[in-house]
Amino acid sequence: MMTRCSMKQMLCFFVGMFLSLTINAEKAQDFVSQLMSDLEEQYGVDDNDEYGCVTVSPSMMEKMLKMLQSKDVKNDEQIQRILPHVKSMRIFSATKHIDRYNTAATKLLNRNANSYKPFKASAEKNVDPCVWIRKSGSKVIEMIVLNRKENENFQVINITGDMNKAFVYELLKM
Amino acid sequence: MRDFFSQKEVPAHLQRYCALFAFEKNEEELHLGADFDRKILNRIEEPVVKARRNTIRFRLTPFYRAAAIVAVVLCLGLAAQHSFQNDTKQPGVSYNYAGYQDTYSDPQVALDQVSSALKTVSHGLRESGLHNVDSALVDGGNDDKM
Repeated sequence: MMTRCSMKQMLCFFVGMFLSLTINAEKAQDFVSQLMSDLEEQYGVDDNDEYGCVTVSPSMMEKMLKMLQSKDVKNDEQIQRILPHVKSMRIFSATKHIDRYNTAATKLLNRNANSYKPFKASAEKNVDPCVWIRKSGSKVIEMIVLNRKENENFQVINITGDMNKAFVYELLKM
Repeated sequence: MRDFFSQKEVPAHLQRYCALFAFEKNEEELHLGADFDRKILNRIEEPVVKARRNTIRFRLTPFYRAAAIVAVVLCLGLAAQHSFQNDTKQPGVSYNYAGYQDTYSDPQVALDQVSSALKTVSHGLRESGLHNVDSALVDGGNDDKM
């Protein structure tokens, strides 16, 4: 009886451990997904209504890379070096209520200050950050660019992947 | 000889052999007890096997054991994977790409869009003051990765 009880306790313990590990490894949402959820909650607006969202999934990225590798175009060499670092891309764009969406995005970034940090290339430069990054360990896994054109449109470019120096080096040459 | 040594008077130089013959005599008097046969028969009789009803808990014991082993193996595997990820991949953060629905079905159109967006990102990085990779500062500190 004693053995049976302790075995059940052990089983419960391990099942608990397994569940906690599973919960711990919960999938994260990218920034644009969070932004759109926020906007839907706050303003009750969704995609195709006042703003649009372009999604390029990891599988499409692979297709693009394969397509590029099969082509023999010299100009595509640079993008061929960049794309392996990019896993997915989402582009949020709005042409109306630019201020509202810009504020919502900035607020969301500041609210998640533990995850997203402003990217500053120079400590002295005193400008509003338009590039934000999310790191995991020492790796940059997400990059967010807020691109606002006064009275024209507002864009949030959200890239996920493994962004290292080589990626930035190639990107700066674009 | 037995009779000789069982006498009360035995020459002094033969006294030491008296004990030997006395022992033999005592041994002859030893017999099996009256209950000897009963004890032996009791021991060699086949035990009576009683039918016992097995409960569901008892029947599921192998299942519990198997489940515990599987749980242990899974936990160890996950722990190992977790520790490896700390070094090689993104610890703790993995994105849910399952919900992604591609806007474009044509890779060429998607590529044009991605190229255009990457140019904007490049412009944004330059606007942030980044002109060469080595000058990159994140959170006020130098970073090997970027």
